[in-house]
Amino acid sequence: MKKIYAFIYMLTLLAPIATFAQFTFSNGNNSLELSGYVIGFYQYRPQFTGDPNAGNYKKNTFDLDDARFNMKGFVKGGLKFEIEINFADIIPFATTPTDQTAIPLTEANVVYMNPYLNVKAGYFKLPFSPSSMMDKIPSPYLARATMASGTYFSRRDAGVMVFKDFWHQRINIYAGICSGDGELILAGVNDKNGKPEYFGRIEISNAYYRQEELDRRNLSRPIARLGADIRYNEKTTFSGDGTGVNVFSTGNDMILDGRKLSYGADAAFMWHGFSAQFEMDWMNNYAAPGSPLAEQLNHYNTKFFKDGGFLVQANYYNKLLRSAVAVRYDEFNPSDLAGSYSQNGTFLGEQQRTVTFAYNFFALPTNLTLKFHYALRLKQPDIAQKWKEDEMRIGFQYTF
Amino acid sequence: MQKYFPIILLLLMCSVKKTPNLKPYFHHELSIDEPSDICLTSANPGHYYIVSNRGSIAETDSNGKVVRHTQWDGSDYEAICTKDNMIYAVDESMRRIDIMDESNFKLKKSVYLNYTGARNKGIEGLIYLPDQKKFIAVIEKPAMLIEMNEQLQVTSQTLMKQFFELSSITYHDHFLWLLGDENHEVMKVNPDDYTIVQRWSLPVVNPEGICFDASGNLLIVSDDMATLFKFRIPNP
Repeated sequence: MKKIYAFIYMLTLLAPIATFAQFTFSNGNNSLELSGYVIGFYQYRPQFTGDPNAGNYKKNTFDLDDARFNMKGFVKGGLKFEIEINFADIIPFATTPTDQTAIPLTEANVVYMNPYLNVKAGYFKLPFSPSSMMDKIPSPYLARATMASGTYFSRRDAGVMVFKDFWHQRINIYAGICSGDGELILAGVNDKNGKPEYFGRIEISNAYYRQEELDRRNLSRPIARLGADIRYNEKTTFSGDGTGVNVFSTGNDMILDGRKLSYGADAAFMWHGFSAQFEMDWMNNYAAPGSPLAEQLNHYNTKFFKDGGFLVQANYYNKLLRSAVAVRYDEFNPSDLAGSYSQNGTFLGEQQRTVTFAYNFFALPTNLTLKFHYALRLKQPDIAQKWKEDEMRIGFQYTF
Repeated sequence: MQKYFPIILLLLMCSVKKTPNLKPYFHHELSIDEPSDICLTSANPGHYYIVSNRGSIAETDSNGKVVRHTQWDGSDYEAICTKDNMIYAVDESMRRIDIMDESNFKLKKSVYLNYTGARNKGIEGLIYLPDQKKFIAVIEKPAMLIEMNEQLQVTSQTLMKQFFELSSITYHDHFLWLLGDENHEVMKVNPDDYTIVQRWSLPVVNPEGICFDASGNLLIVSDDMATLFKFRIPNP
């Protein structure tokens, strides 16, 4: 126990070096801010009965998730620019350029702010799914929920977005157009039909609601936000697993040639250190007439299959203890047509359900956070077996 | 006994004396987006200047109704004070103090102030103390007071470890009054040694600006609520 106290005491001694973490250079009319963060952890994945990876312990290891460097520029008159690179993804991208979750460039855009309509152009995070829009730093977890991990829908893209707020930022509206190829547009992936993706989002809150999951301000008044978002895309080939690729015929890659309509709704709340978020995102996948997938869908007497899911999480932050605890339940269904039935005939589907527990200790005022994360995979209802190994991560995040 | 020490420590931490709350007797939603600081005008103590980090300065009446304002220019104004019928407004992002004529908002000159911390953790508050002929600016995080002479040359920088963060400053009744937006509290501070004399909690989301009106009432502007609040400070 004495060692723990000594460790905490030593961390408090580090406080003075936490002071000038970020750097801003200015000449009075232009400024440039340099910042970034590093996230590293040890990961342990206990294997379970029937685990397809039995005997393979390569996931039990130390890893570096992020080594990000960010540059933000501000020019008098309302012009901003941002470039961010995750150095931890450079080698994975070089070896597997078609992995959309390992594209090292994470932001590269220019924003023109003005009183009428703000415009952002370049490569940026799409305004869809708050848990995807949320940066890793203000989140208590060390991994995103299954549906927002970047595997099922693209989280970033190249395009143009306009946005505006009303009623003192209580209402925020975003709309835009992008390539529709997601992160892989940077890997040179493009679709032969040349059609873009359209997206939009609206948020309403009782006061300006920041992109934060924890109430680290211990708000004396409750604030809440409701949101809804939508995306529409038409391609001959979609990237990622959320295309129904393995849904109907395992081992036989089935490319979705058709249209994808994605839509979601969300709610968030924070007050006195307590906060909670709810979100659901669904994708209707319409197969192009005459495509192999369309023929399969005809057997189900439908024109589309749906994938998606929801999450709900609750968090509590205590400033005196410099700690936060959080729990999240998320559920993802890769297809509403695939899966098995229960004995009484109820359709069970393929449910990928996870309960995640997190604890954060804020060792320095803003810079160093120690994080614990345990993702407990629940058994699939049809086969009474976990869909994936549990995942424990113990790590740190340091912002500079 | 030693094994119960963490529990005792936890209970002690949770039973720390609560900061008394202030209740507003007046509030008014402003027509100014993202208001970030407030001060009295020189010509009319019943009027206020309110700056916005959307790049404008507005003069309001005592109820917060805008009577005139500058045009949007993209500046990130976070702090304001007056001296000799001139407005001193701080652009936090650009580390620049714009000095304007109070009568017509005309820019007279700008002074560049070097500070290399995070862009949005720069100067959040500014006051002028006529008795001591100096300006005091507050840096948000890490909390710091910067003293400047009348030519806006920095004479001292003091790290304020006793404050978690600071969002504004004013001078009233021979005391400094410091505002913290994350802790949403106002602190009455001895100007000689910066010790906290008294503190109050505010039922306000993201309070960013502070000053006192001619009657001694505390004025607070909330950035996230875009609202002007008025409080009466209880007698000690």
